[in-house]
Amino acid sequence: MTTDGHTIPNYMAIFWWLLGLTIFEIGWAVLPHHSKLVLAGGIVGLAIIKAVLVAMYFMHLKFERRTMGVLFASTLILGMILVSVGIGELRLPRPGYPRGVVNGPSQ
Amino acid sequence: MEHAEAITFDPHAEEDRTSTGIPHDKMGMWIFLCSEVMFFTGLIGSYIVLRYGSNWPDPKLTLNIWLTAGNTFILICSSVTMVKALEWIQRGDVGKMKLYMCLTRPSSASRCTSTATCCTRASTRTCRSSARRSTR
Repeated sequence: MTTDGHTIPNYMAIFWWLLGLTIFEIGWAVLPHHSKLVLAGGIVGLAIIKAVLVAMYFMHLKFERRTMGVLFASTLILGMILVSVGIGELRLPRPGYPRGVVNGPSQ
Repeated sequence: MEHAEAITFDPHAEEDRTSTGIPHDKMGMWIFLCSEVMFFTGLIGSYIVLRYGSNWPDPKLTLNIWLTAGNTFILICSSVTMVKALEWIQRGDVGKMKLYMCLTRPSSASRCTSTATCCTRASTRTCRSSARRSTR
């Protein structure tokens, strides 16, 4: 079956994938980890995979023109810049400010 | 007759094209979605800065992972019922479209309820732990 010039994806297959990834995500969160970076990295990675599946199939980005993908990707790039600058503000050393302190040096 | 024409609407038809090759209504919706992405990025960015720049409480003590998991499950269910409704209207079956739309409504409502519960629990626990810290 095709509509609007593309085949209708198997939505239930995507649903089962999303459910499986969510269960795996819960397992990853519950299991003990030695490093917080591994825990956070795994959860963020799985969340990105789920977001890509939703955008590609449920939001039909896969079947849209490339212009739409470029438009959507540009917001993600701008978002990454925003978050990177925020993290940089905290992590990069500034003269007179202790590392990781937002409100400036204590009086 | 007009209703039947609306169902068989082809967004890629020559007369619907704009200068970008994408119909105005579809482009408008995608620009709205992109603005939503930027909005939530701002919120998540603020969260990251606040979390790492302050004395943030332990998430395991303030958040209920099973409640969050249930919330995610309901979110996935409401997404799939919504796209199934779209699929059936594209196939021309209005009855099944209505059925899936009806299934989407209670799942969206329960998602709102569970999100509110989750936020209330988290804020209550955060306030309690802050109060405990301040009294020490």
